[in-house]
Amino acid sequence: MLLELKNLYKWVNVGGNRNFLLKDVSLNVNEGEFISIMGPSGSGKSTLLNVIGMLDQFDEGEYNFLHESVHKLKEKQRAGLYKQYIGFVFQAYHLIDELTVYENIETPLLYQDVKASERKALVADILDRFNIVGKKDLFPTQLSGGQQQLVGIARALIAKPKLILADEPTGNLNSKQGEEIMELFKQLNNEGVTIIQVTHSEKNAAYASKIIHLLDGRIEKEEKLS
Amino acid sequence: MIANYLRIAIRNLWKRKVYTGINLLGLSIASAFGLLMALYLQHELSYDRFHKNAGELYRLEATNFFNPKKDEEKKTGFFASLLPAIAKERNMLVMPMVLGSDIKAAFPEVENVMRVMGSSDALVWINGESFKMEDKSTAEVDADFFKIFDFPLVSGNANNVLNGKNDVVISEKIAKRFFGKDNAVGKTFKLANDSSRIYTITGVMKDFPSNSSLKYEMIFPIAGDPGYIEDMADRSNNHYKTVTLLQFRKGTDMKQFNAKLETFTQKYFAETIKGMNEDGPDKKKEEFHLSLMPFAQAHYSDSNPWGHFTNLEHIYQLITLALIILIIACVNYILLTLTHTVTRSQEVGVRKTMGAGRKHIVGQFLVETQLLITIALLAGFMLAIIVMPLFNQISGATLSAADLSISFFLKGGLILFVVLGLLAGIYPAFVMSGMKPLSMMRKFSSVKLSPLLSRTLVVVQYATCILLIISSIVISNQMRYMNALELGFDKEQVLLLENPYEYDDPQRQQFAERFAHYTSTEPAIENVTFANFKFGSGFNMNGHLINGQREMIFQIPMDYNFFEFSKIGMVKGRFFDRTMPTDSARLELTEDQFTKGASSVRKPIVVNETLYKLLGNPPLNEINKAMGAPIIGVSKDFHFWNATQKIPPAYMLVGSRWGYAFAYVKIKKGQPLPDIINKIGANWNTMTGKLPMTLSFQDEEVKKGYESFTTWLHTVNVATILAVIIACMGLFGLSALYAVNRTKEIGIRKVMGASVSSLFMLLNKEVFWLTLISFVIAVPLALYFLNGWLENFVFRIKIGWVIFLVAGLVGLLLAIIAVSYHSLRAATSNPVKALRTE
Repeated sequence: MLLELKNLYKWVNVGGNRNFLLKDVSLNVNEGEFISIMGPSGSGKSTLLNVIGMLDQFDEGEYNFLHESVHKLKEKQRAGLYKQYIGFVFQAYHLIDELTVYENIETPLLYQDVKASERKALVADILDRFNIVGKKDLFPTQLSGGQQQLVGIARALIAKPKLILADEPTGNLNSKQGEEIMELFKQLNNEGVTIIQVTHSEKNAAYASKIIHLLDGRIEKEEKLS
Repeated sequence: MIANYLRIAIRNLWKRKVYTGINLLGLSIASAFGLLMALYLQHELSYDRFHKNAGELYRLEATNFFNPKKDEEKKTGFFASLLPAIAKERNMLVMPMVLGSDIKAAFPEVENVMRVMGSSDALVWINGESFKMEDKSTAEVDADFFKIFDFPLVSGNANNVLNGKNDVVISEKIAKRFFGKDNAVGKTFKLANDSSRIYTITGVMKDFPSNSSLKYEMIFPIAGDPGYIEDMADRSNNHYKTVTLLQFRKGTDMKQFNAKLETFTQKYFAETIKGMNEDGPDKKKEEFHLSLMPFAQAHYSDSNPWGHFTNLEHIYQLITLALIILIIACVNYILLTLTHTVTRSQEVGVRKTMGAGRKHIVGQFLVETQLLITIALLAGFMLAIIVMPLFNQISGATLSAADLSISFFLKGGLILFVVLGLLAGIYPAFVMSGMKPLSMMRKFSSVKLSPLLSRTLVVVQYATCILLIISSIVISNQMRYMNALELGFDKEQVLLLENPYEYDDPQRQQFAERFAHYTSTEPAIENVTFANFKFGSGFNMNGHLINGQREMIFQIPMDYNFFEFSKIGMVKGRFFDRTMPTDSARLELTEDQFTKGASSVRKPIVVNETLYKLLGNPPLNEINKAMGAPIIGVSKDFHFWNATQKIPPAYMLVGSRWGYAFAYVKIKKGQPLPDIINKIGANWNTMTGKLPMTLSFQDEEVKKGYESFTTWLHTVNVATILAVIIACMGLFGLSALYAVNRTKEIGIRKVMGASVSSLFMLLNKEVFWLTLISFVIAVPLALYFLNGWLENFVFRIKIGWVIFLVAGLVGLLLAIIAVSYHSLRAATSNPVKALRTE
């Protein structure tokens, strides 16, 4: 098992009332799964994703990631964990505007102290694989949205994570670009990468092997697709 | 990794040109100022340290019994209170000629004695051509001068260049002036004061370095002085002439020596000390001591005659100003960078999700800061070279680009690099690195700089600026007040010409008459008179016993028409009259008409009001015992000494034993000065046989008395302008960021129907309050510092509320101008744009 959430709660206190963002969420994710999280605005999709990505904390419950108890770890150890195993893909791409395509993709490797020659080889590989070698010296603002997201995914993949977390990865793209990205995810999943995505689109959700429906912070239903 | 950081840093700096520009300009101005300060400091502290014997050399000093009003010279103010004791010493440096030899004979630990006697401005004749040596540029010294000091000789042997009585060593500069490219050694010249004596140049010395207190161009052996033999036999301690330096054997216990010297002094000067205490019965006991000042530190005390005085007070003030500007520039950087976190938060967030640790983020921001600082330092270095002449002019320093060595730049640069980096870079770097990665997800509610911190920084910055503005206004008001101060005499349109003849030249006496004769034929000249002083210098002071107190009284010899010329009025009695032969005649006094053991004038005198009061308003035209002279008149008080101080007691008399030292020439109004000076010069050459003409202006002589304050005014002005510019640039940048931060709020308010003017007010309200708080903080500080400073002046302005009002308004206005551009832009922007989300 890759990760396991047990009776997870997250809340904020607003004017004396406890406002639940996540309520009794339990979830098991196995390696190689492709999961879509769906639900209306404010149902806690992004919060759940952030909690899984260890970017956000929770108030109660257990979270085990590769047999590490995340809720017991210090921030630095958590950072070490997600740095090694998790890649993030964002709706707004979140590429660094000051860096070229090449440098954006290289960044995670820098933070993992990968040697320069190795970095070069890894980045060259992925550029090649995503067919963006010709764009490597361009800056994000010079790319279309689809291309930017491609770079975002390349960056998430560069450090060979076990898990990709994608928060509405196609939300800013037109349907054709979105379809391409989803095809890419499907292909990556087939290669063994675990993917969890948040999406509004039924069509995109259908790429997954499992759909989790959230409502008001709790899992309403889990839907297995074949 | 560093290469990557650098690349990002360069792109980041380039992308935000306005902020980079503001920071760069501020930091480079600050570092230029800092570098110049450091250079000045280095130069001043390096004085006299280059002699390898410097550690063993001491200057002999004595209790100053000539100093008339010791208490009045006490410096006041905040910076003066920080001064070390050494800077407050006002000891007497001149000693009897024979004392040095006697000390050497008495103490085996004294290895060498070096006496230095500065000569007055010498006039040199070479083959019928006259050269005037600059004042204080010639000296008589003991023969082993070049062995004790490390002043290298270009030609001549340090062991014997000064052995002959008529030997002389000149500097390279003078050799070039006298003989051009010819070899000077072996050439001869005469001095105007003794045409029978022929001096032979035996050596040429390298020009003395600029950080030497001893700065001579021409050096004679002291043994060749005409009075030398007589002086060496005179142990009556009546003639104080030479500065005496002692070189001790290595390893001498100075504490022990000082004790022995005290015993020696009390015995050696027993007669003098007895004499000092004979004056009155109820007077406090006078003491006399000798003391030693380490040679290399001697320049820290303002004693005469010594070649250089390092005014530590001035240095403290300059350091403070440099620090203020550095801090203001750093605060700018911190404010702008921190406020910018909003736009950088996304990047930091992304980096963190990519796995960046805190050290990575800190590293990245520090690289960015240090890159900016490196550029600023290089720019500052160039700026320093460019503004160096200006700096010299306003601060009175004598720096040259040659002092800016590579090693200095590396050292100074490294210090600034580290200090600025720490001051400006560390805090923003830690704040940024502490951001949570999630903050990037939130568009508008992202991290904001704690308003308390940013407000505190702005207040610190702006309070300093207002303090400087107030100081600037007060100091310039005081200087304007000084310039307009009623001095009691007419100083306008008055030229001063020095009597060119040497003291023992019989023509010196005739100069006044001949010059007056000439000026009477020159229609552009209104009047002429003569005196032995010019404003601030050239006085004798005599000790008179008045009411049982020894008072040092100024003696001012002047010509009959001096009062008429200077429009000085009389209070009582009359001024000297050319038709009364008794006015200039010497008087014989009986025993009861003068005080024993004190001076007596023995000529009719006119006293100033201050002296008249001191004497207790005695009757006129009879012999006054305290003065030993009849007082024929009382004049109104007029300034003659130092306009920053009270007018000291003084008396006037006519006639001068050696002829008046100065001619005062009043030019008619509306006459072109250069023409008249040319006319006087042409006549001068025929009248004196081409002796050099030394000319000055009366009003400028007056200003010399407070020159150091004027210099300080200029320095403060420059610092104020720089500080205000840097701070306003900071406010400008800050206002832009505030406006960006509040884009959404402004957009919403506009949609709700807010008018442009109400939004403008809203955005500027904070600046108004911050300026007000800064003002409230600056005022008491200004009062404290400036009242201390004003105590340097007896005649001073009152710091009125108008000054504060003006400074406050100027500060507020500048601040509002600085922020208005962005406030207006934000207030007039299209709300649709502001509220659009991605």
